[in-house]
Amino acid sequence: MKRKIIPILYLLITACVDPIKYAVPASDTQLVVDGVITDEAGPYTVRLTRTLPVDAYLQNQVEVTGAMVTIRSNAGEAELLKEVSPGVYQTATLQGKVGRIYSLEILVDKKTYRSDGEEMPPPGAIDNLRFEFTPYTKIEGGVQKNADRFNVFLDSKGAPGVSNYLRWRLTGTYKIETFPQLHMIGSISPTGTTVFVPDPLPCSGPPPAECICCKCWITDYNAPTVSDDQLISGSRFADVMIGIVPVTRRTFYDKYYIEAEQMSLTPAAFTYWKLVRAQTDGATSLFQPPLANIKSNLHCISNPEELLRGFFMAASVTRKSTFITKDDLPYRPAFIDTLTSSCLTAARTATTIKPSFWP
Amino acid sequence: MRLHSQFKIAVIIFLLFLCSGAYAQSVEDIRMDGTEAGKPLIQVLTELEQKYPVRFFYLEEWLSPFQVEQSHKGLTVVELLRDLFKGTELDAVVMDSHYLVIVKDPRTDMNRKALMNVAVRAQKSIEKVQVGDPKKVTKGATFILRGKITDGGSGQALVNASVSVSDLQQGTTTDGTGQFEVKIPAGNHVVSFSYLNYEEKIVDLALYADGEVKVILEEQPTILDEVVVSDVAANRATTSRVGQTQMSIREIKRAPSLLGEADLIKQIQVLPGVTTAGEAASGFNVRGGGVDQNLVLYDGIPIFNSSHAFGFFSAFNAQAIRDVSFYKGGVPAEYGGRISSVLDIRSREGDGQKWNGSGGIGLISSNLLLNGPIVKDKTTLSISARSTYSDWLINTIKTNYADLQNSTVLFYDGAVKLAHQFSADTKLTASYYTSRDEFRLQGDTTYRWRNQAGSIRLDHQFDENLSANLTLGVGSYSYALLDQNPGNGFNLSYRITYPMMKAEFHLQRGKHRFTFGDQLYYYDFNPGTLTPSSPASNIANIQMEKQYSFENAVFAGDAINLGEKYFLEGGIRFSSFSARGPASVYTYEPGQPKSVNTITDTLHYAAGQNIKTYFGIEPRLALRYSINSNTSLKASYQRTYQYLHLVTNTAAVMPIDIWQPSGYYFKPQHADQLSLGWYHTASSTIYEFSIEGYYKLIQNLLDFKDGARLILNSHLETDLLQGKGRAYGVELSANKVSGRLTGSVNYTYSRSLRTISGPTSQESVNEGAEYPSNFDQPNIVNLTWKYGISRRIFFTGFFTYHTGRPVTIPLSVSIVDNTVVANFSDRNAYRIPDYNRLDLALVFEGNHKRKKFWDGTWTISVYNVYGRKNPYTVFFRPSDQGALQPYQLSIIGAPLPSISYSFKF
Repeated sequence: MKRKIIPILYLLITACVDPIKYAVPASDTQLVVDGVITDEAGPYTVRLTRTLPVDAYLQNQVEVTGAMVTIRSNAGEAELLKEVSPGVYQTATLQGKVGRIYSLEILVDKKTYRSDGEEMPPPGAIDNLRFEFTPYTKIEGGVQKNADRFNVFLDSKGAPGVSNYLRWRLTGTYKIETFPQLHMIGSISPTGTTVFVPDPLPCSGPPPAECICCKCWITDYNAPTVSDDQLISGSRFADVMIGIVPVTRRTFYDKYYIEAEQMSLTPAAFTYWKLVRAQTDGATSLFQPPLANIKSNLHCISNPEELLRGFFMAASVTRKSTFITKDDLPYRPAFIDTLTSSCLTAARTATTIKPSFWP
Repeated sequence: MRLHSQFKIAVIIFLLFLCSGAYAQSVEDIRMDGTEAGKPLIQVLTELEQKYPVRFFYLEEWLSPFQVEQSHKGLTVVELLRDLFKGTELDAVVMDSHYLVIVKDPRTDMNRKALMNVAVRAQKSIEKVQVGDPKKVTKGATFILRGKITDGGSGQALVNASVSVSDLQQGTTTDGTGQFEVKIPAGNHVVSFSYLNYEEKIVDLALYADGEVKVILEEQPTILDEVVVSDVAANRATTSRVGQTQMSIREIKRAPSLLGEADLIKQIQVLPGVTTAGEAASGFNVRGGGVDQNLVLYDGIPIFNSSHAFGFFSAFNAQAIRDVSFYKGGVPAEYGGRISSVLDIRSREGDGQKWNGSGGIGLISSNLLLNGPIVKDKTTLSISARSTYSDWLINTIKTNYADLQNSTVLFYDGAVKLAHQFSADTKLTASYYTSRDEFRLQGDTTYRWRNQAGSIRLDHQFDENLSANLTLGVGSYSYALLDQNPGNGFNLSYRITYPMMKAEFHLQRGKHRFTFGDQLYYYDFNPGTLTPSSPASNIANIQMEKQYSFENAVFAGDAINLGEKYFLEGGIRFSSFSARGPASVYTYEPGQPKSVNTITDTLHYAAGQNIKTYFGIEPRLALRYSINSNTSLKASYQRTYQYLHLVTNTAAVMPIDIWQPSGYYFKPQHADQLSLGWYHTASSTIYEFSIEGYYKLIQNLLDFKDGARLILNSHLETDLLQGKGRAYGVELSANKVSGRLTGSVNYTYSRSLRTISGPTSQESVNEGAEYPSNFDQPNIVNLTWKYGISRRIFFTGFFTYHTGRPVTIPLSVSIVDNTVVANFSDRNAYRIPDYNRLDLALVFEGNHKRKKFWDGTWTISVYNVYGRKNPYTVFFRPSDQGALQPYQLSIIGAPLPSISYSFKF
């Protein structure tokens, strides 16, 4: 609710947001644990990385390899995860079950890290997923720009008879097409002028070979939204806005896939995600909620003072998905911009592998 | 000058006699024989001249008041004279053993004449008053001058008006009923009576007996500021307390302002020792204290939210205010309940003679004040109102958010005051104030908040020494959030209602001025009611348990005039607070951090049953020592208790933050503050300098745990922490108070620190280490000026610089579940860039004729002249590639011009 106040004060007064330079001191790197076990079918993944400086590109992740990663449950299960790619550890057989208490143990650099026990709560259900076209303009560098979008809402319910701590996340996937075969390169002609000559990228053919970097699927992750049901009657959540789908020439080149994920969390994981959400919302709020240092549920056994980041969650999950097509738009978007490089450069999450849900 | 020549003549005459004198028994050897008892001094001296070969030289007018009352047998004539002259400017000088010259120190008289000359030049109103008969005065006796200062229009007593015996650099202020008392030696004196926004009155006093004067001050019709008010400066060094400021409403109106809204709170914010978290922050912070630690009184009733539109404007209409006293230290015992400062606002009473009005038209709002007699000189009425216009402003500005086209920003405030004078000694006043805000986004949440305060006050003067006032009142603060969404719409409301009673007595006894009384509050808190806004809404019905409590305080104070050099004001306040049932209180496992999981039991209290009682003993002490007529030292110590806490989890206070009374878990806050000040008025009385330092310790400050939900939380004790605060600072200020150019420069160095150290790291902030508070701004420079281009046109300006406030910044990032999570530094470990801003205004005032039908003033002002984008906050947002990019949010990032018109008729 708070974050909605700011725009109106933008109007009232000439408020503005500008990028600035701020000297952020270098800090120590810490171990980041990103792991979850759910009631869905495995494999479950635990990623181990190190914290990055604030100005680092996120592609430059520092993976932590060669760790012994074990998930245990109070039912006596224990599985040592296999490192499937650098820093990515996966289970093979374990199946998460509601009501069991799971914990994670990591042995790396001769240090043992252990998580608190997380009891997997019962799942709720998403009743309805819908989207609403919303015209929108934003001012960027003093220029008004069209920023139309779809607001995505859901109605859902939590598990009956318990306190529900829910996290929703909207992920969107869209297809783009680039034209790497049109790639040109500048060369100096004998007369001394620069001329551009075609220089198709190796992945783009040449025809009749198939272009393997022309079509990409890009996934957008919206920031997770959280809510508990303490102020809600009957654990019935209605009109929860879980994210937006920007309308651009790229996102609606083909169509846009939205998937709503609802996680039932433990109270500790709920607090973690609530604080993550506050980081996103609070930064620009007039009222400046203080940005909290978010505590992990993992700790180093030999050195309790060591700071750790990330969280190991045990959550039950329900999903609902649908496509937004061009027909849902009140107008035709402009044709896609041509990108004469590999489509993999278009976004951090771009992949040339067609997702299973894409027709 | 005349005296000077008199002195010369005396010396010449004396020299003449020196040449022709006879030689016999020395003057110093003459002893009194007892026959002098009961004779006038002149007669005694004449008889001695006949008896002995000696001569006495004097002016008859000097000695005529003196009478030798008793026998001085055995003493020499010189000893007799010195005894009689004690405490006067007269002295006896023996010359050449046979001549005795009575001389008068001319400085005091010259000083007096000079002051009169200044007053005459300044066309101040001067009255000649003689009390008693100079012939009947015995030796250099001192007498008591009593009196009452009232407003010529309404007859209202003027409280804290200044009484200054200018030639003696001695002064006092009127008490709560407008009474004063000064002790002065017999003779001629210049006494000035002054009060903010009123014309100063000079009395050329000849005092030869105890006397009483009735002083009527007239409100200044328009501006007379070009004249040299030479003793305003002297007043500051000799009368006011350390840490006390009185504000002139006219100066507030003339200062450059945001969108032309004359703003009391904004002017408070530029005083040394006062800071604010930013433009859009409600309230103000005094000497390292929180926003909730300021007692804002409107006609004696505390106001919980002093802001309109989330802090952009203050909730008080400057037109309706008669005067304002602001204490950041040396708080007298009659005030209590908040630990950092007192802002005592008194509203205007109606004119007793004729109906008149004033008003203003600005870009944001307009206001009007009407006042006058219902029964001439007996019953008066004053009504004022201020309101924003409809939403045209917001709706005409191009929006960058499509869904904001039909938004609302609306506020109004209004006040009514009715006064009835039953007799010269008894007066009844009824006052009501309300302010309301509404803020809405179409189809979304509406924020509403409202203050109300109503009071009835009876003033009665029992006799010339004893007076009393009784105030009965009730105040309330409420807010509501309304959301009309069909699926999840809700109404959330919150309310505090607080009836109160205060009885205050003033007693004058010799050197003492006693104040004593009792103050009682009853608090009824509704910490939250949540209801669905429509049957389809999924929102639950939640009614938080109400909280009831009593706060009582008995207070007594004494202001003692310890001679010319010392002035002491001491007081004590016994406060108590009792939280009452019905209530249920959770108990927690001992030794564990309080959390929902460690609840062991619930204690139930019946209606009226005592849950917890706290007591506070609050000593207050203020001492002034005048080093000389232009310089004084002041010191004060105060302990203050606060039983209500504002709980906020934002850096800037929101109108929908909650107030939490002390109770089973929350202890009252208390603060100890020691201040020391040095004040100097340059002899020209054009410049004033002061240095004030303070050190303050605060106990039991409330802070919150990260991620705490404060609203509708029935177990707040699990989410709140109590800690300590420490603040100290030095405030330097230089003012030029008269002349065409007036202004002030002040520099403050101050720190405001907090320590929240609980038994576990969850219950501590920054692992229990001391950290700067949200409004810790060590270096502050403020510059204000007013230049009279002509008698009617003023160029005013304000410049401010302060250190950026502390923030918490991300030091690294991690990626968890495809989300960028920033890892933050310790709380408030870094700062946003420094703040500086220049505001300018041109004020065109109407002509200065005293009698005229209409008087209008135009004010053209520009806020943030050089358009600096001062950061309100700094935040980090992931860029496209994921790295965090720092941004700053500036509230007012461009020059903001405005024009406003105010009038008086």
